[in-house]
Amino acid sequence: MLLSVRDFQVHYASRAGMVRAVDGVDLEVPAGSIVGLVGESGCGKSTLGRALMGVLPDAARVAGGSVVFEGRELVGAAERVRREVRWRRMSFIPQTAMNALDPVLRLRAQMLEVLMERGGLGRAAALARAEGLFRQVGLDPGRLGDYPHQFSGGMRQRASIALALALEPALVIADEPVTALDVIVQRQVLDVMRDLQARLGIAMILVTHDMAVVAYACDRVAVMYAGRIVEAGGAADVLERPRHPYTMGLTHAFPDVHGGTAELVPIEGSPPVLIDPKPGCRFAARCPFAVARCFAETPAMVGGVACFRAAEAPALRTAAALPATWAA
Amino acid sequence: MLRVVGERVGHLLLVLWVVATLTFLMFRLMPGDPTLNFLSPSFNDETRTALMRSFGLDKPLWEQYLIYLGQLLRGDFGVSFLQNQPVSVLLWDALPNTAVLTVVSLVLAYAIGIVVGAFLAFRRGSVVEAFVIPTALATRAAPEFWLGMLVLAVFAFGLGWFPTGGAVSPGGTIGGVWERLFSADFWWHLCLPALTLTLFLQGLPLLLMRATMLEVLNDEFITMAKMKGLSRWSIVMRHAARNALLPVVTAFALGLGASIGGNVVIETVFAWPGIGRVLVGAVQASDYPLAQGAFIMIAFVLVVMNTVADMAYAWLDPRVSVGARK
Repeated sequence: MLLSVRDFQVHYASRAGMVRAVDGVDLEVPAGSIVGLVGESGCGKSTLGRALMGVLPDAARVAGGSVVFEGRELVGAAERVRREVRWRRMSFIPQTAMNALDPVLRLRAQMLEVLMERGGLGRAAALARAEGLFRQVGLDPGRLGDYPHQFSGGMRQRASIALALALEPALVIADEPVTALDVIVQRQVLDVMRDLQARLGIAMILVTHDMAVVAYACDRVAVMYAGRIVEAGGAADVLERPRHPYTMGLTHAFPDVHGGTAELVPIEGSPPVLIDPKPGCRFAARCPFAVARCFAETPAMVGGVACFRAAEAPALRTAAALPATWAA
Repeated sequence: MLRVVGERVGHLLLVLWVVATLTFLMFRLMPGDPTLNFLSPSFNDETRTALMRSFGLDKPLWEQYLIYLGQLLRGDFGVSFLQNQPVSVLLWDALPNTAVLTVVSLVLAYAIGIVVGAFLAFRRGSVVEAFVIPTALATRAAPEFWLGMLVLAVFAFGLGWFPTGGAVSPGGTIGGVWERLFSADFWWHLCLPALTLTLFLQGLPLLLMRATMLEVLNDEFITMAKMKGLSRWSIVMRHAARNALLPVVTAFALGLGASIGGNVVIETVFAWPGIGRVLVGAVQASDYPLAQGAFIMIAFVLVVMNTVADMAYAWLDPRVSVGARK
């Protein structure tokens, strides 16, 4: 296993108290696969991605758990070890390339910076490599002299991908890489990522809120809700036969997963506040199938799903397909 | 680019014309008759009229205005009523003093402000911050003349390290521009006014640099730089400081323009023979041509520096294009 995350915890300090943004996450990423990390805004998926890179805002800290990457434990590792891993072995594609690229530096300077300072290449070799990378992601190497603002959103995202691939990492964490783009450009960028991932044998964690993106690009998927993984498995399995009610809700809340024209049904309510969360399943308050036990005990992850009623999944799926089930 | 520069210069000329016109009108509307100052009441009417005519003050206002504009275009600011010397000579003599004082103080103030401001951004919430920021604010908020008097009281009258005023020691001559720049005496006299002006000016760049630096450090590209594992030096210098400097550089160019005219108070306190003092003297004596000349000179520097600031910004920040199309 390229990356194994066990009982991972990230806490944020806030005025109201400590927020458990990532609260006991288990995640496995096999080498060379694309794992979708899906969930709604605020579920902790972006925080998880950033915490794996080891770069968190000042208010946040890793509070526990283990992250084993290429056989090395990263939680509590020395800064020297972290820096060795950063970008060389594990790189990052940010949410929108808008501000992720330094606005006052030409793309060439930003590529050379990574290739020379982190990659140890000489200037000429780095330039040649930068041109090659631009070609790989479908950008004209002649545009290396441009500033980020002269690029369209899709081009900036391609440039970010080129940067992420610059040092041939084993794992790329992509945080909502296509969210800010229109659907056609989304498809193009996803194709570039999928193609390069397959050709270079890179593993990827694709953080997204969009089930359609998971269906299109991912081999495996982990569904995250309120700081925890609630369901995980092969992408096709999970999307076709979801066993957690939250996943069922998600598949109906997004268009075009199955190419059907079914009515979109929102999941009513909002996720719980993650300061001193109550015991019990965190989705129980919004779950149409919740029973008394769901509010009292926290379901453990068993066979890829954390739900007490997982055994009844086929019946629940039938019920979940009816919009009336989700009406508050 | 050439068209854009042309446009800017056109703007600049328009603003200067408005300033020249306003200056002309302002002095005519001010109370007090200039002739009272240099025409003795004992003069008879004939002498009086002859003198008025020699200065062109007998002509109708519009004609005076046209003559004034025509001469301005030829770089002729007229002759001082009081000192009987061409205004341009008097101004050219004072300008280097003001320029040296301003440039030295601004460069010091911005160098200190940028370094300390950037440092404070990294030490947010520290004890150092709790001391430095109120100090910077207090010196910025204190009236210049009071600051100047304090500096004089301590370093000139108290410790006796520096002269109390002027630009040359008694018995010395002020000399030409180059002579001044290579005279130790001149620099020695410059110390206290420059110190005061630096103290007064440092607050703006310091607080501005700190604020923009704090903002930039929160930007996503800084997070990305950390994720890339770049060295702290690269992150701070290449990415953070470079972006945070943009507004500070603009403030510098604007400050340069504003200070040329804004040194009136400090030049008066330290009897520094610059444009500001020339202006104050001229206004007090209703010396129209000299005051007009000083005003226009100050306005000219201010407007030119504004244009320079504009262009500097566009040059530093690729996102700002000067005009429509690059």
